[in-house]
Amino acid sequence: MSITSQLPRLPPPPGRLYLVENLVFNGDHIQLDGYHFRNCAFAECVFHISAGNFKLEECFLQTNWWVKFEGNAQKVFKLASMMDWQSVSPNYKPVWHPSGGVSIT
Amino acid sequence: MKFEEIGKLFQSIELRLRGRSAIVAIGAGILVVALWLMMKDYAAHPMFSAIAASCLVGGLLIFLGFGLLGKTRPEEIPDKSFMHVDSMGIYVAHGIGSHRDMVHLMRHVFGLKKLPPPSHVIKGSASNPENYVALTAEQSRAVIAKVEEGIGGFLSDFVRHATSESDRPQIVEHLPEQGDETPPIKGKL
Repeated sequence: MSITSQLPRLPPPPGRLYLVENLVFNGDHIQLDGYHFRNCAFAECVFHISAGNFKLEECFLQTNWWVKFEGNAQKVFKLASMMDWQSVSPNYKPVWHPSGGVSIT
Repeated sequence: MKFEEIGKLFQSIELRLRGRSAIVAIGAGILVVALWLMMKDYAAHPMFSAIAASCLVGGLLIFLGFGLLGKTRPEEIPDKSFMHVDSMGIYVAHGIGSHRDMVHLMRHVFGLKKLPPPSHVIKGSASNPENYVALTAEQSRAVIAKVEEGIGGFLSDFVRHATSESDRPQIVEHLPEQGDETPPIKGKL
């Protein structure tokens, strides 16, 4: 594989995410891959997910928000959409905090 | 002999000597020796020595300029490759000559895209909008510049760590992250 050509999206080594905290994003497109968002708020944002290597820690999703699944994440999402979500274990669900924040770790 | 043929001869010698720098060094050495010969008997023929020396110095500069400023040819570019073995969690990079190139490559691998400028900074818990402090356009750009600088440092540390570890065995046991092991979910038809 040459680095002069377009690199396919590869997942980074486990646990290596760049921490971003205490910021509010408004009406933006945000690529979640590679980032660990902590105590952040997102309003009217479109999240892009490709590899799925990201973390949200006590983050707030305000008003409208959308997710665009790309690459392998799209296939995982297609399969996940076929699941019986009534019987899903809590391990698969995001953690909702009493403050209203959500964690996906 | 035409100029093109001389070029081909040089190229042939270069390939045998494995690199442009070798031929430039040899050529420069020959010109320096010729210059020394010209200047050795300066007293006997000052005018001839001065003219010849000027020509040789000019030739030497052109020769060095050709060697240093010439366009890189495909055979001079080292083969670059990058391999990632997902199941083993290892990366193999080859032919990447600089730390900067490696950091650039790692940014692609990590999938870290530039974040948009934030609208506010949060002083306290994000649950309370009163803790949000609005940023001006300039402040937003400064925040993102700081994030970008941080990513550069983060990747640079990762590359430094990875290259310092390269003397050790690279294959390590993949430790599953917490939450990797989850019970299966029932499918719905």
